[in-house]
Amino acid sequence: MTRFHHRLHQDKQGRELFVEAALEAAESVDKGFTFGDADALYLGYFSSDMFERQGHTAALMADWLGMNPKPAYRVEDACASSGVAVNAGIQAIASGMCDVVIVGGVEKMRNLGTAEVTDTLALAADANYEAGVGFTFPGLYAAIASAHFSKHGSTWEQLQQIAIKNHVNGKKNPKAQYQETIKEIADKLGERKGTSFRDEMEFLNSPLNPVVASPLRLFDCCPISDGAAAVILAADEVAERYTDTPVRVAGIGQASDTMALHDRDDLTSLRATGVAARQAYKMAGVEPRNIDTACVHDCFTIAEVVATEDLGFFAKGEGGKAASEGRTALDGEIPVNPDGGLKAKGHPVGATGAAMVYEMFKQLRGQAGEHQVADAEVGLAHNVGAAGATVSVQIYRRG
Amino acid sequence: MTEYTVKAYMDHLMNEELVGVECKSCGHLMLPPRPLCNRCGSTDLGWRRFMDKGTVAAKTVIAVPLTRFQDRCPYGVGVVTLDEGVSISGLLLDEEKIDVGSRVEAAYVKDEYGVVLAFKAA
Repeated sequence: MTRFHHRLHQDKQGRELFVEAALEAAESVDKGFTFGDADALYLGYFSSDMFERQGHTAALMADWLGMNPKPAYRVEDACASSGVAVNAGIQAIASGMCDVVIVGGVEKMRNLGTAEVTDTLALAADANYEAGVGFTFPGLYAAIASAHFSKHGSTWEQLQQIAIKNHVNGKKNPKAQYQETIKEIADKLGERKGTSFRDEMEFLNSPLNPVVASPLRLFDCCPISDGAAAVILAADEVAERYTDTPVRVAGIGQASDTMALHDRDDLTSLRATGVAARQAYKMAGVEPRNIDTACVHDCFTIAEVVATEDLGFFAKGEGGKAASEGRTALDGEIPVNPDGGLKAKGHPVGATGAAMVYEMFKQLRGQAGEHQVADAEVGLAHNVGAAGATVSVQIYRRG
Repeated sequence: MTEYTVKAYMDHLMNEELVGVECKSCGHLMLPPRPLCNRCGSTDLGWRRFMDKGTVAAKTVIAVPLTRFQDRCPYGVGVVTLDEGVSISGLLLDEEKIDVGSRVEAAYVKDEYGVVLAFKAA
């Protein structure tokens, strides 16, 4: 994968980012790999149309990888685009139609300013009945937070522990957009403004952390990012041509839910996460307690709380408390988002699901470096489209 | 061809009426209207007028707005569960008086693009 960043890729287009990510994937194959080995490409790209004024991007990327005439499929499921592309690639292999596929995703968001990005991301909500009455994308998760606070008594202070933890992890990840702790950012911004902060919470409560959609403030939100990620999937029968230490796909799941948040019975839970996770746990023959580490879709701090509950790591309503007790930290009982999550690693939306698989591959082969989870053998990736109308889950196992 | 369209819903909103559909097969209420019942699959539907009262189920105040709503910023928006049991999103007017659990009633905000469903404190 490329580094995710808001400035670094200013002079590049999505095609160049995707080729860079795919080249790293190919070069990492122990026994060698060329793109011609692949039978198909599955690409997640949410909105090349708006961000780059370019459609038909799967064909573009297949061309740019020199894969013609192999088939190329673009998947658009909002922020779950490449998590779904991964599932589609796995199904292509499971069907027997393909032996090897390249799956990945890309988003080049920073061509637009914040106002246009806000409008573009809102396309992933119901354009008539949510965006049409003023809901932004952060606004939908803020609404979820308000319902969660009201029903379960969770607090904004608990959410901050998730942002703090994900920045601590991101600092250890060379691919992360923000490789700084929130305390370091507070010290830097404070110095610039001629002030200082006792600790993270004083900074997070200050005007330097403005409200985006109450109760969510800037540091509750993942950033706007450019980046790409790619992984190579191979059938069991051919995997040994490429490596002696593969990471196995143990189970997958996917589900949809109502497009509009308001059509759900429970606003404090993403029903599609529970459905997709149960499918994946069943296929893999594992329980939530068997998961050693997970990448969950923390587009907002509240989303990580809800995800860790819906995935069964914690009881409903307990996710915020669990995070604030350090149970999801890198050295906790279930390290969540060891790569910094969307919050610190960045969220080029179409690339995120594939970037989670990249992280799982590194973790389960013991190659994650400073943010390695000790003895990780079973990992879970959880990718959400918008406010949960699409969810993909995969469970991976060390080969 | 279905009569239960987005356009029909917006036309009713413009007339300050909150109108959805009721499934004649299973009784499921849907707001806004849809061409088929998302519970039982029936297309045997009828118009259903909703009363304007409900309770706030979720609320936020937006500080980084959509372009269309820039001039209102900051503004409240939320999910309201109507007394009929169906929920819908809308602007929340006088948002400082409204919280999760507050009673609200529908209001209809007209701008250059058309009409926006809103709710105000009841």
